[in-house]
Amino acid sequence: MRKSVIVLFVVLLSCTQFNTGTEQKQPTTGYRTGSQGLLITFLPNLPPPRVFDRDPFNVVLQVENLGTGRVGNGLDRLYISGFDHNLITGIGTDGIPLPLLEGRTQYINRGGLDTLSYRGTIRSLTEKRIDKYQPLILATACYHYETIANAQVCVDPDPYAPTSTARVCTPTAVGTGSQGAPVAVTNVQVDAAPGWTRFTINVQNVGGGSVFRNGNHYLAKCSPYNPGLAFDELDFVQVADVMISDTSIKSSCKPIDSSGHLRLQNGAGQIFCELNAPQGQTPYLTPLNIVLKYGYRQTIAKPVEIYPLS
Amino acid sequence: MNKFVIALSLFLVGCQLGGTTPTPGPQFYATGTQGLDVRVNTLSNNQLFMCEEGEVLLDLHNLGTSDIAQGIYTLTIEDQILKPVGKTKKQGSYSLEGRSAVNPVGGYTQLGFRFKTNNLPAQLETYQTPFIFNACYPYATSANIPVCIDPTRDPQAARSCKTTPVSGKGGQGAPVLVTLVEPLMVVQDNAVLPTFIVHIANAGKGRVVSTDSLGFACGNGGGTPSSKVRVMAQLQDEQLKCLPEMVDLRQGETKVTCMSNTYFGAAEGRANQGTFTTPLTVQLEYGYVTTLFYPFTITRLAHQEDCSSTQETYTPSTVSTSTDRGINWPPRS
Repeated sequence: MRKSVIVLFVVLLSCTQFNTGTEQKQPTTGYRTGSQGLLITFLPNLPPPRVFDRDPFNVVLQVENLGTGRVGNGLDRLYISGFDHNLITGIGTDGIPLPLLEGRTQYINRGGLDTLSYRGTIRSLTEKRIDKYQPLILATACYHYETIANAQVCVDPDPYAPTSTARVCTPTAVGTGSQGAPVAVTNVQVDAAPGWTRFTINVQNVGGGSVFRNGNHYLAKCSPYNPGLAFDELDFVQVADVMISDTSIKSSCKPIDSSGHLRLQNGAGQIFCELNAPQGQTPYLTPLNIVLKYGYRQTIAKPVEIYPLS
Repeated sequence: MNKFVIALSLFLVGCQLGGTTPTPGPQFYATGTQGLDVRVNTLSNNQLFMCEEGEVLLDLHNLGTSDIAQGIYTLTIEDQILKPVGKTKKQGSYSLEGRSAVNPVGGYTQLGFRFKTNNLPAQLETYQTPFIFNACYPYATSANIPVCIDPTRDPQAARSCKTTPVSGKGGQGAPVLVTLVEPLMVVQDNAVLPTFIVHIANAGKGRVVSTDSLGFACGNGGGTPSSKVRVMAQLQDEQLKCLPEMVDLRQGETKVTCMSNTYFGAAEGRANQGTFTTPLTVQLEYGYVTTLFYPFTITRLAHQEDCSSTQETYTPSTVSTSTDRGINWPPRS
């Protein structure tokens, strides 16, 4: 009886192995979704909610790329702050470089994941006659990111043409949702006129963090140990390109400043671009490709209580 | 099977023994607004007859966090009515440890004073006479007030704290306390110079005197004791400049401005620490006088004319105060 059960078990196990087969992996359509870039979390108990002085102070953070852009080019960094460096020593103010974390693709449905650790020491509180020290530990990630939005838009070279033929499409607003990045192109409105088509591209910061100008100089200013980004550096995204089919129409886009940045107000903004003299006589569908580049800052917090050890 | 169970049990017990986790001390917080607490013990008796001996027992309890190293006391009594007996002295000294993590209840001692009542004037049947106990002692308040140093000017940056006034009204284990600290981040160039307005008040029931006036306050020599508190403040091992350095609390709550010389948020140097919370240590040094008023009521017995001819003569004693009463109790008739 026992032998027959074992044989049956082995047979069932083998059948499961054989049935997996060699299915071809199909690309995931619509992988550009979601409104997050980098996800940062404190690992449980690192640091613990209550620690004692003269103990090591260990902080470990997990970073995961939930978006479709790439993170970690050497200048992207993670900082911890919010505490007195005289009381918790050994933790620098330069931060730690973020490792290279690839974004999601149509073939890989999960982005890169890694952990970063900080090790410090708590000085004696008894000597300073301090009964309790309660800092709020902040972890701040400063990184470059990119949003690539694709929308199928209808271009009508002659919207007022008197014709009774069936139209392929009618120029109308296209909802694009989010694209796997913290800054999203939420929708595109299409306004057709004879000889030109205007696109109103709505952009919004949906990630919950702060967006700032694209560039290494601004990335350095993002550090919590820096006086901070100025009002004319925050809430800007760089319009890297706007392409309709293979034609770039970025030069027609407004309002963009000299460095190609669009200012967001209350986290949202609009770009107005034009396609002059579209080809053909009849309406047609064509892809509109929008690329935005920007710096992004995210912060999480964890309270800690430090007591003197008698 | 039995051997296996025994081995497993030993293994599990062994895992629980040893280890290097240190035992933390008791969580002690310096709170409250009391210093030396003086109370009349219930064994005391202030209702006496003429020519009777009585005793006053005082409980002294240091409920604050500062040690009393050389406290002095004086008694004020009507010498013609109450005569100290035995080892009773009208002046003395005491020392009491303050509350701490290793002594959460604070130091405690008892002082005993024995008296005999003298004759009352012939026309009086009862008489009330004062017994005033003054305890004068040097004391200190050590306040650790968490303040926020915020050099960040980025309006959208997440901050671990906000620069807001911090109340200390719960007390710091002493009668003179820091009631409020108002931090000001004075912006200069790309950094801030922290300045703190420290509010100080006397919340105890006694009187604040200068440490060098304690002798005067307890009746030694002439002169009027001054009433100044020395204020010192420290931020991250830096001694702040406080103005004024000495404050008078007779008019009530007083403010002191303490300034740092460190530019926080500067691009280089140790001051570049971002926004963070740190304790501002404020040290107050002063003398304190606690007074206890315990009147005696002396009653003449019916047909009593005067005390007996044998009266004890008061002789000043050099024996220091201790909890040992060293007297015969109850008194022999």
